[in-house]
Amino acid sequence: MADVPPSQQSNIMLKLKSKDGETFEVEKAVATQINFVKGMLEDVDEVDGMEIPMGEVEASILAKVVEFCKFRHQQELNQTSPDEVDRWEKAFVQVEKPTLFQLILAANFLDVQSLLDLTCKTVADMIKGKTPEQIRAEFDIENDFTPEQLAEVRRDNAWCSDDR
Amino acid sequence: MTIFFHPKPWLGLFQTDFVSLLEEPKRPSPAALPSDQPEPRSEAGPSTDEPAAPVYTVLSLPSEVLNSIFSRLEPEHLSAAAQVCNKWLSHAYEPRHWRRIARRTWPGDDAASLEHMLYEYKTWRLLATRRPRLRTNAIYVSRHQYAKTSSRAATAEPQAPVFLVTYYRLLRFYTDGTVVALTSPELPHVAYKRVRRWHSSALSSVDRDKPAPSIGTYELDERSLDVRVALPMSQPKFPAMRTGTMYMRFSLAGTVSGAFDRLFLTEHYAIMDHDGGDVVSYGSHELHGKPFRLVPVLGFRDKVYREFPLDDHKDLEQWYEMKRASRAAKRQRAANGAQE
Repeated sequence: MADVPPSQQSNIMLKLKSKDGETFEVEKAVATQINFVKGMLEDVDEVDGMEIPMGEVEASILAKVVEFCKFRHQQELNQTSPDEVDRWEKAFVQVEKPTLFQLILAANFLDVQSLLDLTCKTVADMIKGKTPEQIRAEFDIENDFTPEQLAEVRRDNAWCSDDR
Repeated sequence: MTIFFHPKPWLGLFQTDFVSLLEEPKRPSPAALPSDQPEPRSEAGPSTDEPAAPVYTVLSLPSEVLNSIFSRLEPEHLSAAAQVCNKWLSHAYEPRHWRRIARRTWPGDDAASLEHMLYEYKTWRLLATRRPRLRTNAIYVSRHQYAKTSSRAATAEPQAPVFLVTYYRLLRFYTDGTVVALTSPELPHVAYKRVRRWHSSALSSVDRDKPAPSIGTYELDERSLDVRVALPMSQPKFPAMRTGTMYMRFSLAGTVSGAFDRLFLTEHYAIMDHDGGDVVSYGSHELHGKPFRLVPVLGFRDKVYREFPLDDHKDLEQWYEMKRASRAAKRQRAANGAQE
C-alpha cells in the first residue's frame, strides 16, 4: 500500500479475519457497510491495518460478504444502473443452497441488511409458485405432520390449492 | 476494548463463544490443553471442538430470518409454505404476515375497520383468506367459441368450410380497483403476458399488432358477491372502431371456501360514445356459458391448460393456415400485377 495521508479517511484499511484465520483487507468505507464492524469501530480508535475477527464466518463466506460490500460501495459511488445491479445480484446469489444459507446466517450475524434482504428474497423466490411437496423436495425438508394434521392444514389452505 | 453485545440467541448456531473469541483471540484450542485438566469453559456456552462440519439447510435458519423470508410471500405461497412441516406451519400462521396481506389486499380500508372485522373472522389469516375478494395474483380466463363460415360461403359454394373459432377473455384484477382485460384469439399462455397495467403505448412494436389490453375499473359488493366491471372500448389496431364503454357484471363464486376462483357473467353490454349513446347488448350465448376460471399468474403456462384442455385448436390453426395462404396468394397476384 502506498503512503497515504491519515486525513484521508476512506483510505484506512481494515483486515477482516475469518474463522479459519484468513484475512481480507478492505477500505474502511467498504467494511463499515457491515454493521458488526461499524459498531465495533464506534468503541475503538481505528488504526490502519487493524485486524477485526469476524466470529465464526468462514473464509469462503466472508469473501462473498466482502465482494457484496465492495459492489454496494462501488454502486453508491458510480450510480450503477438498476438493470446492471439486478444482473449482478442475480449472478451473486447463483450459489449452492448450503452456501446461500451460510450467507444468510453471516448477513444476519454481521448485520448487513441489504445482503440479508437479497438472500431472503432469493429463498422466497424459490418458495413461490411451488406446491408443498415441491417445496419439501427443493429444500430437503421432512414432512413431520401426522395424517390428521396434514388433512387439517390441507383443508385450511384448500382455497389456494391447484389440485381439485 | 469493550464491545457490547446485544443478546443474540442464534449465535449458538455458530457453535462458538464469540465474546471469549474476541477478548482472547489467541486462546489455545481445547485439544492443546493437558488432558487431565478439566476444560474450564465446558459449562459456559457450546464448545468449539465440534468435529464434523455442520450441514446448512433451510432449517438451520433462525426464526427471525424465516419470518423475514415469509414476509416476502404472497398469500398463495404462504399457504403452501404452511403445509410443508410443523416448524413452517407455526411461522406461516403468524398473524403479522396475514395482517400485512390483509392490509395490502384491502388498501382502501383503514386499519381500524380491518381490525373491527377480526371480530367476524377471528384471525388475520381467516380474514385474509375468507373475506370476499377478487384474487390478484391470478388471471380469470374464459374460453369462447363460435362457428365461422369462410367468405366462399357468400358465393353459395356447396363445399364452403365452417371453422370453429376460439377466443379467450382474460381479466386481471388489482387491489386498487383497476382491472385489465384482454380479448384475443391467441393462446392464453401467449396473451397473458400483455395483461398488465401498461399503457398500450408502452407495448413493443411486435405487440402493437395484436389486440391491446384495455384498462378499466371494477367494484365488488361483498354481501351479494356482485362484481361490476367497466372497460373502455378502443383498439389502437382498428382506429375506425367505434369507441364506448363496455360493462360486464359477474357473480363471484368459489369451488372451496375462500377460493373465489369462478366468475359467472350475468350481464354484458356496451354504451357507445357516438350516436346518442346507444346501448349494445352482447351475446346471450356468453351469459349461460362457462365461467371465468382462475389461473395463478405464477406458473400460468403450466396451469391454464388444465382448466382449458387444448383439444380443439386444430381448427383454429387450420383457419390461420387458410388466411395465411390467401394473403400469400394476394401478395403473389399483386407482385405479378406489378411486373406486367
